[in-house]
Amino acid sequence: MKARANGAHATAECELCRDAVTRVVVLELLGDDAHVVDADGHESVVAIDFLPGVRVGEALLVRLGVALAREPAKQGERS
Amino acid sequence: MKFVDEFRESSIVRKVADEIRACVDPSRRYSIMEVCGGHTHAIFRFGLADLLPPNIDLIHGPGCPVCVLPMGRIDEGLEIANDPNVILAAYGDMMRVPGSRGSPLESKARGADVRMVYSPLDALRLAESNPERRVVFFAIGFETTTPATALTLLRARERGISNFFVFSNHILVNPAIRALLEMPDMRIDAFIGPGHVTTVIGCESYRFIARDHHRPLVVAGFEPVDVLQSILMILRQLHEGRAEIENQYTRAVPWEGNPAARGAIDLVFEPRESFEWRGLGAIPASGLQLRDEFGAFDAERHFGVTRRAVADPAEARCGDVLKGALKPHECPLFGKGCTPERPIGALMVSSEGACAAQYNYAHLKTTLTVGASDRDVATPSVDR
Repeated sequence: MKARANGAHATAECELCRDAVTRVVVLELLGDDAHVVDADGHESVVAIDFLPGVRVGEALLVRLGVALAREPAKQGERS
Repeated sequence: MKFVDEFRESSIVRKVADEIRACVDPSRRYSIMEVCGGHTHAIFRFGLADLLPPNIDLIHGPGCPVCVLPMGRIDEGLEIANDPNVILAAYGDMMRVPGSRGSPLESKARGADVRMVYSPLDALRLAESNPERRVVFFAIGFETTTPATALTLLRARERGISNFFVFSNHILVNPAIRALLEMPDMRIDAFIGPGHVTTVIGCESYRFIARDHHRPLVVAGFEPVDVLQSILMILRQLHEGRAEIENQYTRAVPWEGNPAARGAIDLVFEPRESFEWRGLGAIPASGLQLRDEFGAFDAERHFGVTRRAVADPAEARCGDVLKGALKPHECPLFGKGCTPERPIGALMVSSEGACAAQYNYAHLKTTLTVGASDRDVATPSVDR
């Protein structure tokens, strides 16, 4: 497993300010968490409390270790 | 990579840029604010402003939470870290951000126990593995970041952890937009809405911008095609006399956002009466504090933090840049006293701040094109 070491995250770009999320794919469900892999092959465990019904193989958008959205999402519509 | 490559495809970028050029009315000016620091970064990184007609002004908004955090709040966090029984946990991005007495990294060099974490959940694990110490998490960020803090506090309460605390500097996007719209010299025609914040708060939360202020807002992704498409959608609204909320970033943003994440935020946090933003001043109900039910985790209550007001230098014109009254390089300090290495004004603090982004990418462009020295690029030519 190529784990992302805690605290080894600092980059020239500010993840906080870029409002960045990471796209991951679910490998395994672990209760309120999920074992996931990102596009670079980094595996980690993320919280899925805010996304009910997550399934293995789904693509999620993760922010700071917490999944916030599915990708692709439901289509948005004009107001 | 799916969902990224096609949004950086140069032929599509050119096609959308051509559509924008065909769409603009040359007799008018357009002032469009991108609210999010990620969009500011993308605009400079990909040189998107160079692809636009000269009568479209992109105004770089207050969407960089590190930039807008007052230095006094950093001082307050570092005051807590001076307690020898405290471990201060902070995101890596915060480590070099200066307060009036130095940054968290400098505080660490002076002996404070300051540690970088990737997630607040890591800070909670620190507390669990160091039961004899008090672990304080320096929480910062907009609504994309707040759910992680809220979830961590819910888990801390569930596990009965008593040595974990949060120093909350979470802020809200919409009160800042509202404050900008109510400024008398405001000159913003429309907004590019923050993509990932909207995955949480949802598109409907921006309704007041269209309804009360008659400005369009288009939620956008962060790739070049995303940003250009959102500008095209805005232009079409303006030309048709519409003021609506639209979602360009449908591959990531559900219209309704994430109700579960919002619910967790509401359970744990409540708006402060007012919160200070560097460059903008105090904005009502724009910051979040822990509710009484979570008061046992509140670092401000536990450590009796004393408010420290640290004024920015008057010469730094951050507020004018945020309102669109000045371009970053028109500030008298830009690239002279104020640089990313030694920021004076708020917008030079993080690489996503409008001034730092312009400084960094104009520097690169000038160096590559004319081989200028560092002195030359202190006041780069960035006009389109």
